[in-house]
Amino acid sequence: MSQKEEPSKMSHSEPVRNPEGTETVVATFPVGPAGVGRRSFLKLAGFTLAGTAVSGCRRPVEKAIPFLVQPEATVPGRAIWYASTCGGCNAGCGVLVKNRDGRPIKLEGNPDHPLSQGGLCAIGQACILELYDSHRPADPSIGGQKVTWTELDGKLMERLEHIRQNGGAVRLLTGTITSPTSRSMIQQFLAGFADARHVTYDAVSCSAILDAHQRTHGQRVLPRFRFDRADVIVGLDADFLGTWISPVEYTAGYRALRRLESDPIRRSYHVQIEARMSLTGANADRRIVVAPDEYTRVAVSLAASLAEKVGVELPLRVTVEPAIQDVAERLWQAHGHSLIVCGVNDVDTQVWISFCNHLLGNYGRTLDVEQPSYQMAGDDRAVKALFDEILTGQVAALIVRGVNPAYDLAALGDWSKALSRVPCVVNVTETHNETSALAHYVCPEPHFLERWDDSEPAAGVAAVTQPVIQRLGRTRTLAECLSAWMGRPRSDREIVQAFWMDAIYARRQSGDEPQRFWDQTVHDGYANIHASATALSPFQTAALPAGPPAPSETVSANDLQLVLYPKVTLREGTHAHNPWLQELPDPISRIAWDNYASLAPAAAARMGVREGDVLKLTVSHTEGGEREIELPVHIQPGQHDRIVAVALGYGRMGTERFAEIGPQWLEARPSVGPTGRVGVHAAPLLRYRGDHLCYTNTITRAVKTGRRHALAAIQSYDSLTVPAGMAPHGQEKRHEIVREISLAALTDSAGRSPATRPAPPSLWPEHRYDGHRWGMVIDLDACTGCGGCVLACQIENNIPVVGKDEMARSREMHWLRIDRYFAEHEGRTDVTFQPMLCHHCENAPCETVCPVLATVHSTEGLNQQVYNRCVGTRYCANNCPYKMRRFNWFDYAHQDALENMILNPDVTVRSRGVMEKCSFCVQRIEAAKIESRGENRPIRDGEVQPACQQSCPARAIVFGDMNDPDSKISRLMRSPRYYRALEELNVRPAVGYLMVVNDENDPKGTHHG
Amino acid sequence: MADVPIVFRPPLIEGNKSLADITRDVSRPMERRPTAMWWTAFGASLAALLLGLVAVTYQIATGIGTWGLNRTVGWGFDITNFVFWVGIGHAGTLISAVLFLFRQHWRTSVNRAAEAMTIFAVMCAAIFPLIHMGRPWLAFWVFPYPNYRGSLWVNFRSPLLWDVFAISTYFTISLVFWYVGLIPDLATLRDRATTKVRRLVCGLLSLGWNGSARTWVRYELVYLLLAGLATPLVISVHSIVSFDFATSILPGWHTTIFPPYFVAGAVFSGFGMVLTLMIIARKVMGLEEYITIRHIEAMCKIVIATGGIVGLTYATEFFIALYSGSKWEYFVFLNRAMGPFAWAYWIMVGCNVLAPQLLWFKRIRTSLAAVFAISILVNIGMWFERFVIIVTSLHRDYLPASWTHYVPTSMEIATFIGSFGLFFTCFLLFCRFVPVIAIAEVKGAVAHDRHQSETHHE
Amino acid sequence: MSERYFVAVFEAEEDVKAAVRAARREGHVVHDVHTPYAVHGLDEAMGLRPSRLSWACLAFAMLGASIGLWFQHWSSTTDWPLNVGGKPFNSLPAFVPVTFELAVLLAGLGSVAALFVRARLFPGKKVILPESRVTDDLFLMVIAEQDASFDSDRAAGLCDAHHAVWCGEWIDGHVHRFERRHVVRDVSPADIDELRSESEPPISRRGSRLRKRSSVPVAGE
Repeated sequence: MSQKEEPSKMSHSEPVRNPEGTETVVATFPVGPAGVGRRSFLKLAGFTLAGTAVSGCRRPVEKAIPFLVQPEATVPGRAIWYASTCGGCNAGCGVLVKNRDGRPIKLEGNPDHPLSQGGLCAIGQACILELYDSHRPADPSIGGQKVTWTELDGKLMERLEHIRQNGGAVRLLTGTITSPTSRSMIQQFLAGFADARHVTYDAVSCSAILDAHQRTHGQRVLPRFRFDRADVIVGLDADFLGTWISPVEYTAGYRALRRLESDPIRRSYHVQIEARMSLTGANADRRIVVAPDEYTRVAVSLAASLAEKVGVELPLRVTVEPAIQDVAERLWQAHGHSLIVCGVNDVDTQVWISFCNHLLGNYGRTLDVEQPSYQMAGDDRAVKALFDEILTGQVAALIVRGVNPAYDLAALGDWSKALSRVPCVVNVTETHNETSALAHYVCPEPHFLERWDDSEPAAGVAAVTQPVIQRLGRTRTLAECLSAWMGRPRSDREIVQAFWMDAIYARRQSGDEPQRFWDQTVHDGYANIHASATALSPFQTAALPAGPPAPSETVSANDLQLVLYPKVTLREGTHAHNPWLQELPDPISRIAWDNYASLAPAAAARMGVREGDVLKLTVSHTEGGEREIELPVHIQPGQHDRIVAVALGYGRMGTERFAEIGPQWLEARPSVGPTGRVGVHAAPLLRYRGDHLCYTNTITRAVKTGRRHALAAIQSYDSLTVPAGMAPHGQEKRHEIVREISLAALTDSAGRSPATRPAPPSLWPEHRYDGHRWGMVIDLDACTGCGGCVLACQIENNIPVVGKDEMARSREMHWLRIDRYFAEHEGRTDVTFQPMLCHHCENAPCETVCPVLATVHSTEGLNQQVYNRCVGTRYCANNCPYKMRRFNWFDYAHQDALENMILNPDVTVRSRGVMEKCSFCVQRIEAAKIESRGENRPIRDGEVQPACQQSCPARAIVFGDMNDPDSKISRLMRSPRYYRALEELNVRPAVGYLMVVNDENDPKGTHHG
Repeated sequence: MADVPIVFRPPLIEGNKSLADITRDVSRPMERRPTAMWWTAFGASLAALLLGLVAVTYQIATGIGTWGLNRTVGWGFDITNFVFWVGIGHAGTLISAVLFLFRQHWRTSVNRAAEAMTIFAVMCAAIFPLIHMGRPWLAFWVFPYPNYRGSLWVNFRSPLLWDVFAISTYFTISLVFWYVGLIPDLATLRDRATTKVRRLVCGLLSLGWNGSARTWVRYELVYLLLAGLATPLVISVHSIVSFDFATSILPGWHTTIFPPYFVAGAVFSGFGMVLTLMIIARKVMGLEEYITIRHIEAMCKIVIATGGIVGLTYATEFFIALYSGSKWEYFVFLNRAMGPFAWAYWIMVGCNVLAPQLLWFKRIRTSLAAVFAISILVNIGMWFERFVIIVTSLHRDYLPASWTHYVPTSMEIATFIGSFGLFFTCFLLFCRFVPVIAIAEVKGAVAHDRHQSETHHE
Repeated sequence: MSERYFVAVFEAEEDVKAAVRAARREGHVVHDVHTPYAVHGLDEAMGLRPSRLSWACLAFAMLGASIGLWFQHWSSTTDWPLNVGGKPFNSLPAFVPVTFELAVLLAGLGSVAALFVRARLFPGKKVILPESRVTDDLFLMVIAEQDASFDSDRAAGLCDAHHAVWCGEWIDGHVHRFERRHVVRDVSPADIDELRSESEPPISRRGSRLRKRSSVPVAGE
């Protein structure tokens, strides 16, 4: 990269390689004043191209306004970033799309986005791979026959016209649609029919929350939960950090009130009440384990004890156990800035919970119903009604868009039978799935990176989705389809822009003229607009269920409850065909490539089953009869011993492709199960009860099949405490790895300057590090273990997918892993997460032992791995105390040419037989250097962000220059919480940790330290 | 000197041989057609060798992934076999060099075979570091040769690199030592050769040896020098092999006791192997009168001694681990004895510490069958020693999260068998084409022996 | 003049040793002795100077060590210094093993090479000896006949006295065996006795089982 080039912000560039291929450039020490402010530059840069067409190969031909652009056309090898909105789920997180030479290669969180605030979850990041999925439908088809759009439109419109004539029922079944444009299009479209209805459902439903508010506030709304305003948080079976509604947004908010480096220290208190071990539970200060059939009772007793405090008379009496009393007390102390969230899909329970929030005065503060969230609007009752309609053959045309009822709603009944009753089934879909297989007309939709779209995930937050690549197939968005079928075909951009001009622009906050408003929005990716007023009645106590909750069904104390839950890595399974997500180990079980029946150790002992035994579970089905499922057992500490927890989202159609994934050799085993798919489909075991999908069920029979199924668990030992008798007395726990500090101790030490630990002595004279010295600090108290960083690293560094068998052989390739440790005491299970990556030790043990100098130290303190020099003795890995080196056991070939478009050109694709590991994203460091040099200024603190740090929703990772005393990392290294793992080895790692904090007020705290 | 009372010893070589007898007896196996027993043995070894070749070819073509290794256990069968074979080699050098320096005349009838064993064992050993590489075709990068990469040299701080130099030096010196010892015998073969080919080949290899007294003087000096060099060499080689572990930071590897421990272990295992081979060879080659019970006994005594040292080291190691107060050490050793690989640990103790104790009894020392059985046990035990050191230290190291297990694949086992195939194939060919007993040396010994016995008759 | 040698073949190392001593006392120049194995004491008998090969060995060892040490130091500190595991560029202790190995390697190869050069051993070298069994069980003594004055008869008698298997003259590669004579002309029995008595003590002859043992008590040895 020559200095002559005009440098552009955030553009990445090819690092210069020295003869041995180390990815470094000659160290540059930029001098001179800092340049213009980032935001202002971005704005200028954005406007310069506003409204002008950007041309070039594989670039959108319409007016795409890059988030960042330089006056001249793209420079090969330079990245351009576009702001957009993530389509991974309905949460609507803001993303920045990294484009290299016209192809998007990475999604990152948009730091300015009001909801996600720069974070992006694993699923969101993984979505980009689906853009290059060669199995995607590229052409419309009728009855499986590939056709052109004109043919399809012709046939379909004829059909619809016919229906319009004799007033047949038209039903549009979609997931929650956050796009105002699409919603208006749908209205227009359905208006053309006498009997037309739009039904929405969410694959993982929280319909009960909306229905509860219908009762309590007279409006079917989903409140916007403001965790960033709650000092005491109680979660009742709501996995809000992992899978519930909008995890990234919630995580950001959750962290906002856990600022331990601030003065005074502020840290919210979080109680989680749940039956299974969820990611959120794992992060809670206190976790209360109750059986699922107790949830309602817990809600009631919470309400009761709060009512008592407020002095409100309740129509019922309940005995409240001390634990709940305690929780209520904590809540009450923080009334007005506390929050109770409930994930139980049962209206009564939800009503009780909103009553609690009402009593605590949280409405309007920590729950926003005036400016609600639109992220989930599904209506279970409506979808059930629709299914009955279909069964009775009343539906003339069914248009399914973006959802997969045949899979998600298998609990309602047999969809193939049902849909055979519908003369015209249209499926607008991005992927082939169980439903599209049953549809007559399949209309392929473009990936969200290929289309114009918009969304309003929360009232007042409008976001735009812009295409960053020309469509790879002959696909059409829903809006385009509808416009075509209404006889006024328009392009997605026209539709969206037109709608914004007349509807959204009116609600603008700034007084820009339309074009500028639009450009600004596209440039930023979102716009803050005035929320459309929602008329809400005040809380109606009358809505409260009269009398105590009738026990839903008789649950005898000894029979097992089935708990179905969305997994952090796959949720409802929409992305099950994404190999990255399949290979991402579950944060709690650390198992990849499978779902399983989680049993508490006690339960397993009772039933006499071991890890991997295949269990046959039988439940009674809603429509009478029984349903069975066969799953391998996983023994999960910390969950209620009367439940069996099973993840949804597995056994998806489209996972057959993984049969051949990973190295194929003599002793290789396939990544798919006996069904030929990855995992087992558990959704049929859901129940439809009391107008809602119920995620628990009673297991009538659980028998051992005698078969075994190997699970790909990448962590075989779960505790920091070594096996009994294998350590000197009192030293069983390895505190050198994960350290903890009590909140009280921290508060004391806050004022004092931290005790600076002297570096252990060294035999050798030490090397000097002038200029930069890169290091990383990871806040173990902040890390929720969600795994976003693991995936970010995998995408950024072209890390291959190795398949189940290799994972089972402990040969995962992830450069960054999140170790998870359980600690058991008094029946309580504490969980600690520890992101583990190459520590870039100053005295790196790996370097000394390499015979060929394939791994050496850079002048900036990086431990470099020279792939093309490595001969693969693996001695370095043996000598690495953190075991963070990864070996290419096979040629992990990237056969799929289309998929290879995702590869990051700045990072070498490693060949067979070489060692690899975290490089601290050296390519990003070099890019930043080149830029700063071009602008003749030093690198700013925080300018270099490794992929893991960038995507972390909890902002737990900080990277920076340890030589700069004012850098954030240097400040954190002075924190009393700072420590280095295995410090006594004196390898002097550049990666440090901030201790886990225990809240003293929580009894559990006393067990730590 | 006459009046010095000297205990009567049975002659080393029985049957009161004349010089001509010795020549004839030793060269007979080479001159007659091979026996059926030889053919069967050879066939079996060759089969094993081929199996190994197939496995290695597949592994190199497909990837190290065909071995049972993983992110935590980076070395398993490969380096275990490497250390095992190097160890085997050491007895050969010990017999030929050290016993020579100590003027132990009984060595003469076994040293040739023992040296051959060294060479073949080192060959087997050297294969493993080579094929254990992820990219064996680049193995030459471990040698510091001028290149266009900067020029980029090698890392002289890496024990693996020390290995490269140690092993190659060891192999070269052993080969030279062996060949120098062979020259006079090759001359003998040349002069009694009946076939043209044999005369030509032996003629070339014997470098025109004519038994000149002047040459003999220089020859003996050089032989002495080589012996003097080989002795520290053999110690340095296994010390360096032990550095692979001792200089690491892994608990269970990072141990100062390793160098002497490994050397003793090497001699121990080596003599185990020498016994195994000699007992077979004397039977197959019909050399009972040259390799006598007295030789066997002498070697048994060395086995007891070195076995004792090994046992003591195990105890010391364990004691220090528990006594040091280092929880990491403490854990590693208890994990060896009680952990998932306890079975391997106790096999090791049983074979290396308990079994050799039987050799205290003369009845057992002099019973070929018993000695043979024990020698096999020693070989097994010493293989497991290396396995235990390598695998148990690796599979559970610092971070419990990265703990894992190790199970060898069919490929690794096949490769291991293959290495035995190579070893025995070479050894059988050696028995066939090279005098298994140093003719000239035995003649010297016989003369000397006769002196001794006759001197002290009266 | 043409090469003329007087050769004698013996069956026991003691005989050849004795013969060599006697011959040298007679003033003969013992050109060489060929034996099937290293006969200890023969070198003194022939009056050979001790070999200086050990010095060659030492020199080679030094050479190996210094080359090794220098190269390691140069390549890791001067030619391309790299920060490896925080160790200083000149990690001297780490250089010891390779230095040692190189010393041993060069010493070993060097001294063997020196032997081959000094003893003129090389592939394809022709062996011309009047007796081919010297590599089997016979001992051959070769005496150079400097001038015509050489008395081969007397020499033959001397050899007979030491139980030579046969003796003769070796001229330009042609062997002329002498007839074995029981009484040697011009040599009185006294001379013989004299020769005998000064020769190797009888005890040493017991080595050869070809002769019946005399019971003369051991002296010397």
